[in-house]
Amino acid sequence: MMNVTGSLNDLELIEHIKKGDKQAFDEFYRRFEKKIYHFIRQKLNDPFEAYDILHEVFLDVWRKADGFEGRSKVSTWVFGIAFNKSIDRLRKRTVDQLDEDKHETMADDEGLSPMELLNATEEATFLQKCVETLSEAQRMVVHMAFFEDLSYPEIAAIIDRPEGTVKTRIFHAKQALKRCVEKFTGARS
Amino acid sequence: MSDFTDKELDHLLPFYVNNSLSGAEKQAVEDRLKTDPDFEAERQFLVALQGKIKEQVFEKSPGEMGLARLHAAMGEHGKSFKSTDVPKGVLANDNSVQGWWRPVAVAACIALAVLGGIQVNSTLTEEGMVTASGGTASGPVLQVFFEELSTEKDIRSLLRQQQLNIIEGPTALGFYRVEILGADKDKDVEALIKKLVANVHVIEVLEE
Repeated sequence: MMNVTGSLNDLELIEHIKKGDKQAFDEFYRRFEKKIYHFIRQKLNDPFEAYDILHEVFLDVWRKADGFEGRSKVSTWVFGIAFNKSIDRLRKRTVDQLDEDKHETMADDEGLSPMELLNATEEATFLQKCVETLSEAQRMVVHMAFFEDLSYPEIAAIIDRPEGTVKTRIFHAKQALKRCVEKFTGARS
Repeated sequence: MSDFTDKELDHLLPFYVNNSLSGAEKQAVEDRLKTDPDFEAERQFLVALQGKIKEQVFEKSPGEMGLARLHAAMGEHGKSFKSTDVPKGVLANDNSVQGWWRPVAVAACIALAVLGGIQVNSTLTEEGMVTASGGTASGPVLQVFFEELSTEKDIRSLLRQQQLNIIEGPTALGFYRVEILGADKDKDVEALIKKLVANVHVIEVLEE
């Protein structure tokens, strides 16, 4: 049997999901699952927590699809759900991790220890270490910009912050990563 | 001449690199790249950074297993709802371990109900209520999962308020089977389920 839902665009899929079409939901899940999982996983270091959040996100898609009014792209809406659920989970861990203003310079202040530098023998590992030193808020926008290739208006819609905040946050994150990389290359030479 | 300051262009550069800029913004960034070597060096750094970030490898996503879990939660044989609008901090045990068993429990309940056709005897203890030992129903039956910290008083108060009668529970899987009482038998079950899941003590409601 031909898979009709596979040819539908995201918005059309949502329209079908609104009507309770499970086949459309399955297609929607397969289309977004990996991206959303990686998005959540980037924020939560625990894969089991990430599984649970992913589950909750898609349940929300199923139950709240009729609340989607098409004011944003479907992907922005779904990422927004994932973002909010991840934030909620992080807030349960610590109350002030996400205070963007307090953490703008955090990466520089909390640079890698000499032991971490020694252990980060591979560039990929090192970069991962650098990314981990970013604040949660910075890490999220870096992931959205450089992993998902989202535009700043899309990111602003997802995290519900002004576009200027997104641009500033990315800029500071980039500066922090640059300092981190320089520190690493200096340590290696 | 560009309408953008250098600072604005610095902030736009990451989005030029991820190819999400267009129009005047994109043009302004490209114009500066042609004349400012430091800006071009920044671009190259960002391109390299993006490449490395995209190389990040996470463990495999849940895939079809995750979809199967969703199907169970969505309710293959009935309508399942979860209270997602409960105020923050109200959920007693919102952790990942507890999150896993509920869909499994619901699916198991459905299977039991379908395969076995639960036959239980009810014992009245007070008006409109029966004991947790079990009972039979003549109308629609709901399975209600309550928060672990909800008291018996909370549960009974809610069920009485909604004209519901416990016919079984709490079961080993932690839910109550309830039926709609007397004159309210014909009321809108879906609306009732929504009303129930809006209550802070209710985790999930499933129609048998």
